Amino acid sequence: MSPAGPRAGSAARPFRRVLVANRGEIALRVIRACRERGLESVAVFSDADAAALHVRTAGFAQRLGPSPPRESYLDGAKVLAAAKQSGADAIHPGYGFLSENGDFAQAVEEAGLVWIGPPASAIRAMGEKTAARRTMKSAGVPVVPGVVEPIEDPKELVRIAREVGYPVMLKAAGGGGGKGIRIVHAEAELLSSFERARSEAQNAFKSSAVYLEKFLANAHHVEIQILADAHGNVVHLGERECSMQRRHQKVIEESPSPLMTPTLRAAMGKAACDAARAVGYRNAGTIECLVTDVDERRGAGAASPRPFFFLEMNTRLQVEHPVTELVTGHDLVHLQLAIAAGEKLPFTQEEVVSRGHAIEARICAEEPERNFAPAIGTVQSLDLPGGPGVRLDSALFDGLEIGVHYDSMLAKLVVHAATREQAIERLLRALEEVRIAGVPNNVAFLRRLVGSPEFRSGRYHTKTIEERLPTLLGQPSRAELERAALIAALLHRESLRRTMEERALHANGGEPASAWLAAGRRRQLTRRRP
Amino acid sequence: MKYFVTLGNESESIEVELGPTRDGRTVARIVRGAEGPVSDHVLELRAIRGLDRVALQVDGECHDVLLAEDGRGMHVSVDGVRHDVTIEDERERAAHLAAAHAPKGPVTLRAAMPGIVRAVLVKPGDLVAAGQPLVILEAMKMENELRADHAGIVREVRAAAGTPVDSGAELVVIDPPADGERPSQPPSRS
Repeated sequence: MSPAGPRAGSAARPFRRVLVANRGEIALRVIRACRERGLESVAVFSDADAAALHVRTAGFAQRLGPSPPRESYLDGAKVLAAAKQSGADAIHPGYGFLSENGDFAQAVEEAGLVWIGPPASAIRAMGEKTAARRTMKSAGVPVVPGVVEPIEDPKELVRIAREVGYPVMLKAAGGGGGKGIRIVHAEAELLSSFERARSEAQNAFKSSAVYLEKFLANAHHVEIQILADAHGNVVHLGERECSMQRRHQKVIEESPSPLMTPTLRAAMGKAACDAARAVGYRNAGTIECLVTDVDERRGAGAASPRPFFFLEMNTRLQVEHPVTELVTGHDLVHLQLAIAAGEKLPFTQEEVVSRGHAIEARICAEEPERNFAPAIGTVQSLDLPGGPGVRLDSALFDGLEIGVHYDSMLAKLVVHAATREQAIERLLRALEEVRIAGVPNNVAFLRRLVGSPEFRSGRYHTKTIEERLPTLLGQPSRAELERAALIAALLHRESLRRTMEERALHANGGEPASAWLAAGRRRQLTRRRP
Repeated sequence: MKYFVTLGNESESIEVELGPTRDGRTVARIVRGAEGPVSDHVLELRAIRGLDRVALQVDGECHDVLLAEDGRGMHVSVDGVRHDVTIEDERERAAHLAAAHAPKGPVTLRAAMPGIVRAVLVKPGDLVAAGQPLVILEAMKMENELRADHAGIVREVRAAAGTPVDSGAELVVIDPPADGERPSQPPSRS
């Protein structure tokens, strides 16, 4: 294991031109931080993103290749060539894509560039999930019960699953992000789930290695943000509660966690810092834990803290990092840039204070009513919320095409208020202000979710969305439907009238131009019987 | 003029009668069946640019309305709540009802969502059972098995492993089984 401290990994040193090896809102987020720090920025883009907002905002831009990620954002050689071509002297990977690729981090450093992230050795130590479980165990950090080596042999798998006890989880050893994960409730499903998980793992991580751990029912997903500089300082910035998930994808995140106590936070924070030190970590990172929902024994004196278990470490900036920024007042991307440049952390653990409450909702191009199928389309009208305590991180613009190649997240809506109750009302208000036409999305679903008794009470866990789905999908009321029908009929007639007027004006005949008519006919042709 | 408006997955259309528009105001009536109660409303439309974005008052209450077309067809969004819309006037409705006899013939398995075809599990000539997986589509970071709704014989495979497909793309065409091999009922999965 690499030694902790200033000599871990390559040397941190100042830089002036940062290539941002990502797209969408996170590329924009990093480019904005570079501007604020007086650094130059270089965007990279695939063909689908040639006129994207991150490209138009950056100082310089380099084409990577065709739209599929493997031929553009996931191709490390092309990113390095773009860095050379553009004269960049540092690379920020954002999240996803190459951000947790140890070989790429090493190649960046070997090319003489500054890698704005953890040392390659730390990425590798945490990237292989079974090795990470071994490291955490020896660092004294509790891990979820299960194996610490990948399983190859189906017979052994059956034996271990019986030993650990159902339900169990199969997980890709090669990476996270919700890929290659299967929950198995009974032995009958075990082998087919194993095959699916292996195949997904192979596609996502080029390794079919899968391991097994106990599935902890009703568990909370709570993660700790840490920062480590090149001078041996490690601090944590408290937790984010990420239990509102669907199929292992986070939907809503908040801080503080509704179940957090000062004792538990201190214990988890210490474990997170120990974990970071154990792998010689530097830069921003997140320790994901499960906290089980046992009844709190309120005996004499202090309540015993809930048990928590290490899940994995994300060796990069997280999607949900703004939640921590709003409650702590620290800009994590600025701090990433400062740490990579060799600066000391500008505050100590004692100086970290969490104020008020922050909640993030992920707005995605998907259709909750159709089993959350990802949606595509062109953004045709756009109004985004604002006002006090509202932050919107997105790379949306009127005319943006949402295709199949990239993640379905359109925007992150984050609010901050003095109390959790006020933050919930603020988030609901802001969600009601969102107008996105042309791309089906989950905003109406998010409104019902944030307004649900489960979310309001704070008593929710990783399976709450699945359990409450019928209620959360909701049905518009009769009055709402009739109002929409009135509006649609009027707009239909009005658009026909305007088309006729226009045709009379130009007097050159042509096609009947009502998109309503055309779309309606197409729909009738393709409508399927229920 | 009467319009029949179908919203989202509703099976019944809503009947709307629009009166003439005067000074930007339109009187409209909702008709609920032959003997059902009717209700009258006053609509006031103010366009911001074209008709894709309008301010619309219904009985005095303000609504922010967007109008757009996407992969799912035409939709209106009223105060940010989206409704898929199909509209027919009286004439179109009559024509549509007359044509409502679907012929028995080949059935096409379509991609229920945009994604990437990971594997095609059948080839032309294969006999497939109802519920049998035909195509594995990677979407939402998961591999999804797309299954046959009915038994039949694969006539044509239009999907290729490794290629991205849009929602609605035709993947596999299945002919109904010959009479001798009448399908078993779909397995009891819901």
